[in-house]
Amino acid sequence: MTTTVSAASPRPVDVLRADRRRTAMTNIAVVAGLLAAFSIWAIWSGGLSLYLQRVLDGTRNGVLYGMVALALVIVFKATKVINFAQGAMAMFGTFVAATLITSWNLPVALAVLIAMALSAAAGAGIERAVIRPFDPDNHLGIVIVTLSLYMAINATAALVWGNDPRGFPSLFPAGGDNYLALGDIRLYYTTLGSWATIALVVVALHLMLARTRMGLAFRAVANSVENARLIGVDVGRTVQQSWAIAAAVGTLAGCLLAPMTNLDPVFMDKVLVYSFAAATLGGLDSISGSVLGGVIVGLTIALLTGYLPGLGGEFGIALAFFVIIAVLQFRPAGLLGRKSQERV
Amino acid sequence: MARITLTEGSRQHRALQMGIAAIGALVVLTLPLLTDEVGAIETFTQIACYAVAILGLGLLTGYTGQISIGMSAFVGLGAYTTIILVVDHGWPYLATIPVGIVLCLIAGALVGIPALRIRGLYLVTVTLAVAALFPVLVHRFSDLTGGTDGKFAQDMEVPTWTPVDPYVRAGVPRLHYYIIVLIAALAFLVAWNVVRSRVGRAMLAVRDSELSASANGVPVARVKVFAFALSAAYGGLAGSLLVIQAPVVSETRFDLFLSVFLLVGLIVGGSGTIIGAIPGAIAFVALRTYIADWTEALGLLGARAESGQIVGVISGLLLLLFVFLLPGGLVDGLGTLRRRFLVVIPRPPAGWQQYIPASGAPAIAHDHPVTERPTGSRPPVPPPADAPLVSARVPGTTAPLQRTSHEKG
Repeated sequence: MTTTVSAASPRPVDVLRADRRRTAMTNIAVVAGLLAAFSIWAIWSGGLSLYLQRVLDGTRNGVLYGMVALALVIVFKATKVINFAQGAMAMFGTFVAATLITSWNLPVALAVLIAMALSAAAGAGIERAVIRPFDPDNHLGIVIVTLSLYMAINATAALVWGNDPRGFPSLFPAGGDNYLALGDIRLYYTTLGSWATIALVVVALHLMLARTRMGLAFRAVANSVENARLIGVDVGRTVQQSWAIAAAVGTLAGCLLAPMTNLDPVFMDKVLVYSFAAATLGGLDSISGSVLGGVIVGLTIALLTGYLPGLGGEFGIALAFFVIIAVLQFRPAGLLGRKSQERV
Repeated sequence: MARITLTEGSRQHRALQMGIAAIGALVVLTLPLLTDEVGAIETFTQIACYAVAILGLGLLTGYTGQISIGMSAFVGLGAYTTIILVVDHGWPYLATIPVGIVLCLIAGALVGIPALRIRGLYLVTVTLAVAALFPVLVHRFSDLTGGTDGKFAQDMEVPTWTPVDPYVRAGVPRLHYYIIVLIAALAFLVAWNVVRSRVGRAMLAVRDSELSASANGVPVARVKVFAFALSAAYGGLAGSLLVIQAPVVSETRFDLFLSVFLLVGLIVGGSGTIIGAIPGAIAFVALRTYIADWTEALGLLGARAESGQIVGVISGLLLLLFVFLLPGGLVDGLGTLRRRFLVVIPRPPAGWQQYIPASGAPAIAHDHPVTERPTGSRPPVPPPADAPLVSARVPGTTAPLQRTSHEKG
């Protein structure tokens, strides 16, 4: 695919595409410049190895926020629905995995896979039962349905598993001495594992979207629901599949996050706010944007709270708040998102 | 089924309205005198407080169409303003209410500014972040707010000149009840007048279609900021009233769940109505206090600490049920029920006769204004008594153009 716009007769599509790419590059350059400026100050004040350590830790959380954001984006792309119950669904799936591990003595990886499959089935069922009857433009209806799901799922988890936080075994070798020593800095296997997992998920999603019939249907629906329906795409089933994938990805993110925090019915609530910030920053309809947004949000939280301890440990929520407002206010399409145009 | 038909504004209709209002006022005034149980009176008082909060949410979400789940932050702001001024600065309770309202007006307008560009579900995300931010701020400024420990105050002092005897056990709660109900009634009156005023019509226009509202000269931006500020002020008032009712605040009391429960109340009551806030608040308080108590008493779920969580499950399911079966809420459902027995015919608009064509001319002559009418033309004559009010038929068909709402029931 060529990016240069030929001077002779630029086709409108190419012009639009080049324009979008230029905007995206400008956006990323601005964010990268800000981060770089802060980094120079940070290295100057605290030393290089401390800085790199904080960057590594920040990206480990960041890719996981990005993974939850990815789940939000998969749902949003199809019908412009924001699923406020995404965090609660991921939390529930993580509890299912924890139960499989402790009660059935399954290996962690197998338990996570089974929990992902169950989550996918539950996500598909939820879409069919309570989301599909609503017009996606009926915002109040969507908000109420997803919020009532949020409330019901949270409360059910608390009823079944209790409010006390519990541990969750890590998928990758965890603990104090499981790291690669790179000079002074420690690259923990959990960090490496998170990177590998998100890379795997993004590659799998891209392959699915580019190579499969389901992915083609999904892209058609994301482009225009009416047109997709006209050319014979089963819109309902496609949206249902996107909910299933999103639920599975969310559960995977939950299982990777739970060892770092603790597992309790509200452990995803804060993550959900970070993920909203990540998805908004990346552009709510861009898969790679959501991962990029997650990394930026995780990195910024780690660097700011690390170097400016006066901000307090809970500063992340405030940062997420400002990111959401600033992005929506000044660049509603996010870093990599597609500008939306409204025909009136 | 035999139906009674009344004309809007007729003497019978007036009498009916007055009768219902009188019965309602009587119930509200005598409710705390019927029982000596302190807990019951406090529950009634809470209903009044939360009704104000739900009313504020209704003005924003139901009347202006801006969905918000950040209401808990404003309720919290009002509550903390009152308790901080009372405990640390020795203010009387009632004097703190205006301060809380002004603070919330400002905070609400600030939150409303992003709403000028951000719409729909994006706006919900912003308000979600507001709701998530408030407990964090309370924690961050814990030397002011008491942080995790919360903050406590003395009960509001009872004036000596009131007829309520403060020395019986239910005396003080009763007094709280009357003061709070009085303030809440004022708040309802203000809201009732606001939605019937020019700005209220503008709010409805913005809700129904921003585009056509602005095309018709409604200042959409100003109306939205006004609606956010107004609803935040109602939230702050509700927070102050809650502190008067029980002078305790803590950082977990004003979290996202409060917002979601307020939304439950709004939907259950009826989102596009003023009066719906009252059944909504009753549902809210019943869900949060009674159902938890019942499940504990019945011991269905064992004696575990988490059995109270059944409230969340029930509320979630209730919300789903209402959205699917009765999206207009209880008020809408009762209205449908009422129309089976009693039909109120709307009053014709004032001065409608001038729009009736004199002789076959189009009903309203848009292309030549009334002022330019030739002086010799006849003044419009009133139509015969049996003429249809509006010619409600499409040419060439016999079907009515539009069924009026009372025909459906």
